[in-house]
Amino acid sequence: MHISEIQISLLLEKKLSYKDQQEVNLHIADCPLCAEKLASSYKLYNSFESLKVPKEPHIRTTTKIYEGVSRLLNRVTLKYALAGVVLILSLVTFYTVFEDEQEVSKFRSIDSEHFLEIFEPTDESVLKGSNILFRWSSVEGSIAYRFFLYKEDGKNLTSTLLTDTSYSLSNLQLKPGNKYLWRIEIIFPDETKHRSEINAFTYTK
Amino acid sequence: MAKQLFYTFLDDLSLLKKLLDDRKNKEELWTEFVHRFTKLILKIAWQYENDKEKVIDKYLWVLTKLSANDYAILGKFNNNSAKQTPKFTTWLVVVINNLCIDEHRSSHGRRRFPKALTQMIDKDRKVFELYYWKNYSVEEISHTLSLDLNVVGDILEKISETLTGHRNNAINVNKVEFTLLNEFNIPSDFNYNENEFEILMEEWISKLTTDEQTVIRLRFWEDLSVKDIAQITGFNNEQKIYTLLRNALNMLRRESEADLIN
Ligand SMILES: [Zn+2]
Repeated sequence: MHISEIQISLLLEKKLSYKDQQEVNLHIADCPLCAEKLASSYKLYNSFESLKVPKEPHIRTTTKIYEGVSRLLNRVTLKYALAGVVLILSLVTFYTVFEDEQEVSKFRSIDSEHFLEIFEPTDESVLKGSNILFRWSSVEGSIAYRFFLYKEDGKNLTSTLLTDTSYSLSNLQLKPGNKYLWRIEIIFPDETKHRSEINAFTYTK
Repeated sequence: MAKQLFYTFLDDLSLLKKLLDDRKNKEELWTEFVHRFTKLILKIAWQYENDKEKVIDKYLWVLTKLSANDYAILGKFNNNSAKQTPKFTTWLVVVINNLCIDEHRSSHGRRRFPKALTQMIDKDRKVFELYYWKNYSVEEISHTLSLDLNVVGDILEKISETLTGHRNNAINVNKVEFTLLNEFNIPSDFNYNENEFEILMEEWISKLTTDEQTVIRLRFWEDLSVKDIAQITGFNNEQKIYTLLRNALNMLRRESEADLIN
């Protein structure tokens, strides 16, 4: 038997009896599923008041809701859900509950874990010196990166496998006045790969 | 419409009871329910999606789940046989969050590695090794890895924060936690096969006491801080959690040395 939602809720509210708490502890020792659910609920519950719902007064959202509604419409058993959603629209609930757009970025997002951020050089930089340092953010779950350097015409100059999140390029390969393109490939343990955007820089003497 | 207004004055529990029992006015009651809990559902949906359209999809999906089979899920709150009863909103948050976790698992697969471990495989891990195991100074690390001094400082701070869940913890306490990676003895160039590695890890962990297993899972798989673990397990004693972690890590080191080094 997994831990029930009632048990988790009582634990969050610190109302769980000693005996029930022991049972919960014993269960999560070898049930990763319940451990994840419990930990996730705990984090959510303790930050719930401060969580914000982003503002989205954009017409596309409304369109999307209508699409959702028409999908629901095809299912008779769900007509109550439909009634609720339609009424919400008429009550303009969406416009009163969406609050602060800026807050979105701080939320944990499962899909954004594979996102790579370029630290330096920024796109379209003009660079000089004997060495150029490229730096990017580490990506959760990745095992390696591959640095690609291209000439402006797309011809590949360098492709280097790295475990670091930086790469130092010697200027020997670069001609002053030329523009170069570069990107990072992120490699995951299952050998899937994601590639970053292509950034450009110009090298000068 | 007067009825609709009346429903807005019901407390959560009375609204739920009416929704489950009152066959005639289900539509209006469900409307009030949806209206009342829209913000709560959206807050949770934003934890799983970062795109507004996907959030709306998730919101609608939650509503269909809750209303399916004549509100079967919501009925479970009423049939609770426990002596104590939580607040309805607490329970609703847990129920919706669990629905989302189940859904996420079925579409993305389960998480098999400790968060703390996957986050450390790369540059951070190198900085960690040099600083804590080879006792390099920040300057030496900066030189060895050709990283800016500030970058090394930021990484060390980030590692400390990631692993302890709070800032500026005493380093000697952190050290216990950092050892996890060494306990698992994974060489940086180790090309691991996920399945084999997972089986090995489970085997090592199965040799711990249940309290140690509980604490290790919450700390390294679920990324909870020691303070949070003390609360969630009801031990309410951070020192006890540290002791459990230390003992567990010692055991894991012995086990992994035997398996990985030979
Ligand atoms: Zn379970």
